Amino acid sequence: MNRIIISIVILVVMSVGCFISVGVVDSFAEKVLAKIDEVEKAYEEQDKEKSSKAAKELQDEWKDFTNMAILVNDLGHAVEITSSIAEVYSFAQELNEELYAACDRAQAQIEMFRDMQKPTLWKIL
Amino acid sequence: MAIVLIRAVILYIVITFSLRLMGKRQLGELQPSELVVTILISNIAAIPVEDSSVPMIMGIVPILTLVCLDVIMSGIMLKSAKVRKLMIGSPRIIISEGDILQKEMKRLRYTVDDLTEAMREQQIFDITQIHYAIVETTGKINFLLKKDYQPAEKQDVQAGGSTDNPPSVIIRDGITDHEQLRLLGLGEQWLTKILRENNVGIKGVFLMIADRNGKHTIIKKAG
Repeated sequence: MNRIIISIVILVVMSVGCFISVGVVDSFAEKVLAKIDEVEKAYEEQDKEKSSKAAKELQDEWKDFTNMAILVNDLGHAVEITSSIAEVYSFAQELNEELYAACDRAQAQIEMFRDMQKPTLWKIL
Repeated sequence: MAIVLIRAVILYIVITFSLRLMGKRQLGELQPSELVVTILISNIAAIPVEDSSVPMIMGIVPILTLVCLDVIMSGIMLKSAKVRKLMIGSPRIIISEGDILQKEMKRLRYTVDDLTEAMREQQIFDITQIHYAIVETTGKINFLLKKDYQPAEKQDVQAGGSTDNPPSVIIRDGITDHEQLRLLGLGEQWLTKILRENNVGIKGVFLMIADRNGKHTIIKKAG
């Protein structure tokens, strides 16, 4: 009987943990996506200082989340996003027009990272 | 490289814990569901060790999930005969009162060779000696011999005998097994008295066995 109770407890804790991790990734992804929008807006205003600052914040935000990211997903995805965000930072500092493409790439990668966590029927299959 | 080493250690601990959770029964003859879990565990555990880009949690979560489901399922099977039958099947008779049930054998996909091999494993070389043969849920075949071929038991020849418990080890390599001593109902005082009589301390004993009646054997350490 003890084993059954332990098993039920482990299963419940793991299930709760898994679903919480989906929520955490989701809310974090929203934050990062909003930051990318901020960088794009600053670029549109041609405000170098503002866009550099927003890009730096974006980079820091992602860094804070890296540990959680590599815990729930393949390291490869996290590395891809890190390099895209580094690109955004570097283009934002120069107000380079490539910034849009870099932002779009980072956005798509983060959205994919977020969606990979969501247990939809198609992904389960 | 260090990551692989640490991961292997953690997975070893998780799998050992998981197998303990599954219980000792699983380590012997495996039921179909247990076999599935065991095979899957070995495969899943290999992934995070081989590929360090895969998070280890991706190995631990499915392993624990499978083991927990197996334990919960075995709890349900304990309560429900229907679920038990659905999950592990039921024993099938393939020889009944000396007759081979060929239809049943075909249904179970058992060949005559399987049957004779199982017979030989149990030292039975003549199929006409068998009264009943039952295929257990684990796939093992058990036989009941006809009365004439069954080995004689003590009560058949009216021979006496005792039903005393076998002796247990109470000191191994200078360390006392207090649990065994308690189970035998002998106590520490008895042990001290016996060791004094034999002029030996606990540390000087290589092996000591005793039964409930206090009958004992002491093997002292050499040198």
